[in-house]
Amino acid sequence: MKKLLLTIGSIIFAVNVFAQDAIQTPAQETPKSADTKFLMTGFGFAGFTLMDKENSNFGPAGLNPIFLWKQSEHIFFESELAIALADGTVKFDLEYATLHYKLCNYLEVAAGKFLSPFGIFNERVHPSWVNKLADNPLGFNHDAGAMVGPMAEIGAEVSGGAQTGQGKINYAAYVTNGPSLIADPENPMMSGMLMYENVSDNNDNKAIGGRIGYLPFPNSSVEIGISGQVAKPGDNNSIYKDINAQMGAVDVSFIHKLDFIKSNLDIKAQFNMVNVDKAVKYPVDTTMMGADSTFDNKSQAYFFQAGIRPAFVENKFLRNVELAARYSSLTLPEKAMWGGDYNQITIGVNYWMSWHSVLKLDYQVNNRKGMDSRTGFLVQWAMGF
Amino acid sequence: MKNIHIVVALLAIVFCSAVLYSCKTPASIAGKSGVQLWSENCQRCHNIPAPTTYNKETWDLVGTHMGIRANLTAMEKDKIVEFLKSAN
Repeated sequence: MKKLLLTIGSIIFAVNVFAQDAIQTPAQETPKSADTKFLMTGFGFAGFTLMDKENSNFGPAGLNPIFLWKQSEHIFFESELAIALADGTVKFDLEYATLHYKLCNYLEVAAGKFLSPFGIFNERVHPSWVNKLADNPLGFNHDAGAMVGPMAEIGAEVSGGAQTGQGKINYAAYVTNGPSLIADPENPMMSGMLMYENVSDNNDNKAIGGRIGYLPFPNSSVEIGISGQVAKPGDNNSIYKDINAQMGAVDVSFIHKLDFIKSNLDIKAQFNMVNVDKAVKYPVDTTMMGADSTFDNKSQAYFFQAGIRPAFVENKFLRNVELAARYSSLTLPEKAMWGGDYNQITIGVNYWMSWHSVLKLDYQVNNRKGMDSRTGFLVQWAMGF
Repeated sequence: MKNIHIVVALLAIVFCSAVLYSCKTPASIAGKSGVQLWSENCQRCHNIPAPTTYNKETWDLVGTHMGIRANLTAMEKDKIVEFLKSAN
């Protein structure tokens, strides 16, 4: 609680520091309903997979409507639903639902469920029409046990951006319910996993985190970001209540026009790590060989991707073609029952039918330590609207 | 450990505040046009949309949404939205 109060105090301090440039709000700013602006935007996608030793399959397919309301210059609401077909049923998920209040030119306050400012993938690259490959990198999706770091969380956030001489910085700090640690004797296969996006907090502790991004060049072509989060994920009154989880991420983004081949080059990379203190003992399935109840609970995931598009050539077909490649890696605790060491290479050709409609054809090689490689093709048609 | 995190957070806030207040925006940056900022910033994540993609009202909403996603500065967001509206 003390930590939470101090954090809130820090935020208030920051607000006061920035307040010099605050926008003067009229004493009573009651917007008329006719002033409220609303837009439904979003994206949809349809796919086809053809992987080794698996049946070919149409899917996944989904629709992510995004709802935007602007009530005034200060008050804004945004929400994204994820509607997808899964196992013969339609699955609904709330990606985010966030209320924003613009305090001043340098600071916005937000509350609700928001995309975690943990690296750049969640906030900026996750829409299928923005992602240059047909799927997400290893460790950067919602699959329990294969997710390294938060994708979205419930809490409150302050964020903003500012010019710093020739460069600029952006920043975000937040307090959320934080992750919960699974240590359920009835579900020992998942012991030690962190679950994010918890609507009901499992303890009094709140996760604290943030990200600082720096763009050193005036043309915004390079961004380097550092993110972190600390939390106590254990249940109240359990032997795990004092366990700490530390999470960190580093991200890099580089955009450059290559005049000699009349193309745009887009490079993005992110490294995520999650370290959970060593537990006294996790519940494990003792019938399984190699089950370890006191493993080092450390996970890492990273990806490096590059895309190149000859957007400035005269040939209309060629300028809509993009080549993309990505290497991603996921390392989960070796001795956990959900552990493993994976890596993945994906190379693809995209054809842009419009600025926000793309057909992707990818070839993918999946490797898991100690097992045979799995290769295959992924096709996806994605459209932003 | 708790105290270290709090101290680091406070130092980061003070550092950021100091950086912001010590740096004036150079004329070359302040003088950038909306069209230049539009071409520089949108393509950091996705293809550049044409101004005709949305109407004037809608650009205001989309600009606010994108400004949050990309943590644009207020000046950048305002100039980009003004350009997109004017070129609509």
